[in-house]
Amino acid sequence: MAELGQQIGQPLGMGLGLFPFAVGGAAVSIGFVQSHSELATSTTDVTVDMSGWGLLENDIVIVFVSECNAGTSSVAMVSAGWTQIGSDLYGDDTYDNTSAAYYKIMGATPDTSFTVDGRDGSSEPSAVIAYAFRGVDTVSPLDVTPTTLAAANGGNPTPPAITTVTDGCVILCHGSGSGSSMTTAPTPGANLPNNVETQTEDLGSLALGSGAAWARQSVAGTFTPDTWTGGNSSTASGRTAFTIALRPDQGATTLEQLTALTAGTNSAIWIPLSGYSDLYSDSGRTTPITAGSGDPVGAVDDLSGNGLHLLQATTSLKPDATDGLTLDGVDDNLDATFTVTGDAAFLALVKTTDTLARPLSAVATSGYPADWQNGSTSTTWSSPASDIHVDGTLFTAGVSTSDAVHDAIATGTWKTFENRVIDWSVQDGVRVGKAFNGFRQYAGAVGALVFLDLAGLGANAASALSLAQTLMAEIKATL
Amino acid sequence: MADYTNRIAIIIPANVKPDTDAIFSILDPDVGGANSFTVPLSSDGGNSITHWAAYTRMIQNSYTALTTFSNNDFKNYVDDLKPDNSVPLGTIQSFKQRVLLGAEGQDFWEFVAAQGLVPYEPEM
Repeated sequence: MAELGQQIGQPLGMGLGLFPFAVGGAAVSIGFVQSHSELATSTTDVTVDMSGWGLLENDIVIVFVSECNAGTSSVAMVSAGWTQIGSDLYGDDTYDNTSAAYYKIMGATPDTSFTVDGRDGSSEPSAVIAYAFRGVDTVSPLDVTPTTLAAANGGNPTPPAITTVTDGCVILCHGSGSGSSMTTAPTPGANLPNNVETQTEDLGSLALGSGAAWARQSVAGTFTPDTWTGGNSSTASGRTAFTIALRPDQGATTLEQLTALTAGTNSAIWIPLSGYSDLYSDSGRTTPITAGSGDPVGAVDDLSGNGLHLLQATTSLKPDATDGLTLDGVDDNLDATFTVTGDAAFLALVKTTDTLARPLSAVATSGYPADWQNGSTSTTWSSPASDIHVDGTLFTAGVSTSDAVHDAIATGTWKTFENRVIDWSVQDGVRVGKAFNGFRQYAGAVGALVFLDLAGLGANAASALSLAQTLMAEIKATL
Repeated sequence: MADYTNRIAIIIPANVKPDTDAIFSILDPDVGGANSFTVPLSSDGGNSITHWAAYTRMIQNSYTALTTFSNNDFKNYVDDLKPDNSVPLGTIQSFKQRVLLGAEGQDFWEFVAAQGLVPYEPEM
């Protein structure tokens, strides 16, 4: 299995170039959905609104509740249907700290809120932190029994180590400390880089600080959180912490994992080969056709669930379904019009002998991930300039020639084409086939195409790219 | 499920394009038929466009009507496809008298070259 551990905490543009062409690559499938934290402002229960989180069926939400008190506190989940992770943790000292953790797997209609206990008393600070993830195993969401800390004599709650048994876990840590005062919340160390949430509140005589963050662990084993900073170091302070390992879905196919990861972003998965995306002869997506039939294709469904279907309303411009999408090299094209806010990635399976072609581009703007021309010494073959890989071989923008790209792709056999990072922020979607202004067409087949909205995917971008590479390899192996 | 022909190269003079667009907006079973002809052609590849071309499959019945029917019968066929939008006979005549049709499955670029035409591609 490919080692992807180096991606943790790495800026996206730096990390992606390090990926091998991942045939059977690591299935780091759990996707981050949302995080949230807030303080209880009174003894009234706290209701957290999740309606804008984009939750889907089988997403998991994990909630941590903490309170500082001169004794034990009630940190209960009020909403029904939640499972407590272990039991309440009690850091018994002059300034006690009590924490509890809960999880719930969303049903067909995901919850729009949850409610937890507010402060026990008006001067006893309380905080809630929540995370939502996608692609977690719904049968055994916790890979191993969570490890916990409940201690006195200091309020810096570095969470304990945990030893996982499944590759691709997400490690989620929460720590909370109490004190007579609190200037800096407990803050996760360097190996917990993602979506850090912290809350701190000093109510005069009692103070609370809580923090949480997560990391990916590509290969099962022991994960030891780096030392946290912040909190109250007084020996009168109590502290508590959780380390939880979320197990990736063990039953999902690569396509299902990628679909789960890309849901809710402007990413798309089009696979016109038989057995994947639904194809239609009309752009209204009402008349199904059979892949491999040779019928004109007016629509290719987007398997991501994001609704970014490839469409063509003019029959003369429609490719046929002979071999994936088979484009005529004259005028065929299909469009999916949408916007992204930053970098994108293209991964495609193509088969062609075209000597002068641009198979992919934006719809009506000037971007394209690559084209080629037989015999051309030009080193400008993408816009904006960006590197591509063909069957894993790197072609460097500004160095490799358009002729070299042609020689690699236009062999008449299925080739995997990847542009792993291209600035797509000013483009208007994806066109397959003839470019909008008549400059360059494409004669050949497109068997599969994945477009990744890297900016929208955020912390899930590297995992999505890895899964898309695996998916392409799996499909190619069947052709 | 409609029965389609193989691809057919179709070339029309530029001054007939509005008539052709009107007819293909009806012949096309999808909604974008008015945009069927997108390949600009000229005698030398320059931007003085003299003709427009398409490389398209057609509904088999439409192809038969186009290639075998009289002007009046073809008009009736087109009008029956979209009864609320009668196409003037003059439009039908203008199109049918000037349209150049390749054979089913004939290579598009060979057919274009055989007419002494060259595709215009803008510089970029």
